[in-house]
Amino acid sequence: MGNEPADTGADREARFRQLYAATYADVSRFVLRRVPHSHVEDVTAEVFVVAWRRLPDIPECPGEATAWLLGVARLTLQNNSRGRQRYAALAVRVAENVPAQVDGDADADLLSRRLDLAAAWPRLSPSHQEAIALIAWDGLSTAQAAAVVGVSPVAFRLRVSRARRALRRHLEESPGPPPGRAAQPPQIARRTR
Amino acid sequence: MTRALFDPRTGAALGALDPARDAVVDPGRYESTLARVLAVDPAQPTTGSEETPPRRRVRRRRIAVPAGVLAATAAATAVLVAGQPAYADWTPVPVALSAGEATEAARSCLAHQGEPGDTPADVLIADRRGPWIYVLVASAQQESSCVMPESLVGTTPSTTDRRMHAGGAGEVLTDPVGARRVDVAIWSASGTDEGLFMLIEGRVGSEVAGVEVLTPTGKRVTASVHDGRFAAWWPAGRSSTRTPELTGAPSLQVTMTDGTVVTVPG
Repeated sequence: MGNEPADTGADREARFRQLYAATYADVSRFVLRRVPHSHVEDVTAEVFVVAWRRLPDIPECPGEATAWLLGVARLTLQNNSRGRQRYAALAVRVAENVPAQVDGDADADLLSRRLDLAAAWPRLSPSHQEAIALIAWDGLSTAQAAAVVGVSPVAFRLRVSRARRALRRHLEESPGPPPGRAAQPPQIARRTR
Repeated sequence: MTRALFDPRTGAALGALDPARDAVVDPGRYESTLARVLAVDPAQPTTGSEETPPRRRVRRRRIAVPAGVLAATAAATAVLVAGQPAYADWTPVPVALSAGEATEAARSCLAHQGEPGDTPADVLIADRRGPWIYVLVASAQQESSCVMPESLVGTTPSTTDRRMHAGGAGEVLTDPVGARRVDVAIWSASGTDEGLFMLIEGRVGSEVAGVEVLTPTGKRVTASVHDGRFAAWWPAGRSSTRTPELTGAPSLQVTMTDGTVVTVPG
């Protein structure tokens, strides 16, 4: 990398289009998980403008390219926290709606677990939310996630295991399902996808 | 991946809580963001924080030119435009809105940008091209313009509403323009849910009576000219690869009050 002759305009653009097509979904979803809907498009555009400008710096390997872009996205979001304290990590929100019926496994225990998880999640620190989200939702490997956050893979693995322990602890502490819930299961039909 | 972190049930529950669980790529947004990015000159130096201009401007460039010359604009970039022809029933010749309609359209334009509807503002240009409305609004702090379907006039669309495009020059333009001059402030690719369009906006001197745009694909688009401003927009067409509307440069045909017509090549 770095010893190629400068791209011609057409080559550069073609390369960018390919990168954009391959990574747009991942980048916009990463942003969507962290900011209000109204900001997603602008932040996504900012990230890709950086990519467009710094195209020669972006790794060729698709997984690494995605991690590079998500690192930029993360920095962009931090920079955009105007007036607020810059956080070392970004809180990640959970889905707002927990559907009453789950396609696939409409199991009451699963449903109650999801509700407990939704309640426990905000109690995690932003750093722990981020660590879990990068692996579980953004779909990154530990090494890639470490690169996005800007720490060593060892440090990141440690962070993930602490995050996991913290979440388990919150789940264990959560109150059990209310009495009414236990009476539901026979009525919920099992659905197949 | 989740299974590696947690037991299967917790993992499944966690997956269901992904805020982007139901997210799908919106093709209109995909394309308009792409157009926005490619309109940036990659050779420009970046700021330390890699920040980019705010959403309102796809590209901004001010050139005061004598009527005989249109200065070279920033390099036109090829943008992939996929899908159906957009902006059906758009007309190349605009029709001015009534004062009432213009005010309503301006309010919707401001609302879409998060400004209160009672913000004092001047409507500089307001026209319709078939069912599509364009409005150029100046409030105390800024100028902005919007393209919207007529159904949005009089409504207060949220800032996330993709049916309307808001953009424009940003700050209020006040430098005097020579009598026979055309000052192009905006020449950009923009978009709404409907698709991409090219937008050209600027100011004209006191002796300019009319402006017609000859687009790279040969469309003749009459600009609205009013109160020292001109504006025109037209659908960017479709192509499987490069679309000439975006790679080529339009030329302007400028008619003076004395009847002289000057063609300014792009």
